[in-house]
Amino acid sequence: MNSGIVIRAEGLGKRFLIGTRDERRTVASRLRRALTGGTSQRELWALRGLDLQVRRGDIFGIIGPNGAGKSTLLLLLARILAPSSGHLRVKGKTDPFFQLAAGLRPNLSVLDNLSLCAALLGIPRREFQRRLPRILDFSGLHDYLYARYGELSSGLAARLPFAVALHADLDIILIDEMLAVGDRAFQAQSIESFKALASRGKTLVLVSHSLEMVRSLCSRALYLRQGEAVFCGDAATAVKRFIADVDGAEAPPRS
Amino acid sequence: MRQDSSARTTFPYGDLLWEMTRGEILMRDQGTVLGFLWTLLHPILMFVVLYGLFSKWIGKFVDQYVAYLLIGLVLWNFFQKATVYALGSLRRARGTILNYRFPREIVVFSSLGAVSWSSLLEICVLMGALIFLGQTPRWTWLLLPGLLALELLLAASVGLFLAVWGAEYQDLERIWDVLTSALFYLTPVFYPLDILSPDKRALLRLNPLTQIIQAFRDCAISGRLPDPTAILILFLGGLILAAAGLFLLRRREFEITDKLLV
Repeated sequence: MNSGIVIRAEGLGKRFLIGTRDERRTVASRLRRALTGGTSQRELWALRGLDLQVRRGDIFGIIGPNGAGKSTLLLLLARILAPSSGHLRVKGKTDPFFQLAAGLRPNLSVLDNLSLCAALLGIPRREFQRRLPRILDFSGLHDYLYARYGELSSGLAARLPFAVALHADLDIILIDEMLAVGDRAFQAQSIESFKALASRGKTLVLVSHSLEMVRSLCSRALYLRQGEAVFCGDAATAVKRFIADVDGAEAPPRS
Repeated sequence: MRQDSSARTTFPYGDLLWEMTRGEILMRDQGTVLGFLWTLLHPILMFVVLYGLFSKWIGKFVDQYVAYLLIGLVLWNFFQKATVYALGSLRRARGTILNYRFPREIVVFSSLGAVSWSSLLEICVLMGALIFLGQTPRWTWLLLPGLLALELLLAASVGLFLAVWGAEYQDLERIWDVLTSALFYLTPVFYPLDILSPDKRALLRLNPLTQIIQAFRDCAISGRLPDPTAILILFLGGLILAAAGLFLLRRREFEITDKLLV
């Protein structure tokens, strides 16, 4: 039973130090702080005291209002951020399907960006070349191979890293509102591939504002509010709790 | 657990370094001839100004002043551009760092690689100019790539520290700008060491760039061999400093990400 758990968090917390408005992070301000002893930073806990277990093959949803800590949690799971408190164990290769396009280069061709994206996701060059036809089939970018990446429409542009990441042999796939872009056909195709991945024993963690999708796609879900877990368990119940809170206007979104 | 360890050990480090370096080069427009000519313009302009001003005066002390000055400028430019570019590298790669999990030093190394590429082209032009000026290739020219590699090691070791601190402090770019301006005059780029008093000369010899530029001139112009102990000390020092820089970057990796995020 225990071996099936790929994500285990205990008391997980993430704190950011936020500079005050009028102070920038400079050597000069650091020197001033050292001399006066004052601090210009305040703490912000984006996530606090979170316990979480996700099993292999799960499609796990994360819902909650803006500023609830959903994206922070994904970045922690991806090991891009480090926890400030608690423990987190993630078994397997993972990467967030976050704003993957943000790391790419709009001035270069689609093909150049495909190989860069593959290298960033840890696909060796030879393996990438072997998988390229499948990646192109999935993304439908055949006709744009030598176009400048920045010239693609945002929907097409988002397909590129998405398609590469789906072919990157990730064990845990972290998705943050990725499906907001792309047309209906591409969305349907993506949802099919999520289901196929999950049935092959891959784990999906899905952050979404589309409650309908969370309810239909996910087996379990976490409802986060102001960095703390309100509910973790059955997806339908999580969605129900969230809707009840929003309807009752009990959850004023925190900026 | 098995997958965890295999994912770590088989990361295609070389592939990513190559992809990112190639991207940097293409982004800086050095994939094109015109882009490269633009980067040549800066050293050429510097050369024209400095040569015009000082050839009569300093030319009296230095044999082959044109070659002397050209070598000084190209090698200085390499160090200056490499460190400045490394300094801003993590900040520029914010989008990549926040969205992908990969060894962060690749960002710094790929910036250094892009600068090395353009400097290598400059050096090819320089060697052509030396032959044009009547220098005959000597066997000591075989040592020149080693000296360039040594300069790259030095730039990398400084660059790693600058990259870490540059991600943290927004004004470091300006501070480094001022410091390198001072360092330019503290390095015998356009003047010979001989015109200085002995104690100042000794002081400037502590500057690693002095050693490298002088060694390059010795090998390229006069066919003299550089002092092996000085080179060995520079090499070991550079290696230790680079290892320390790498250690710092890896230890501060998550703090850097936090600071890039908020």
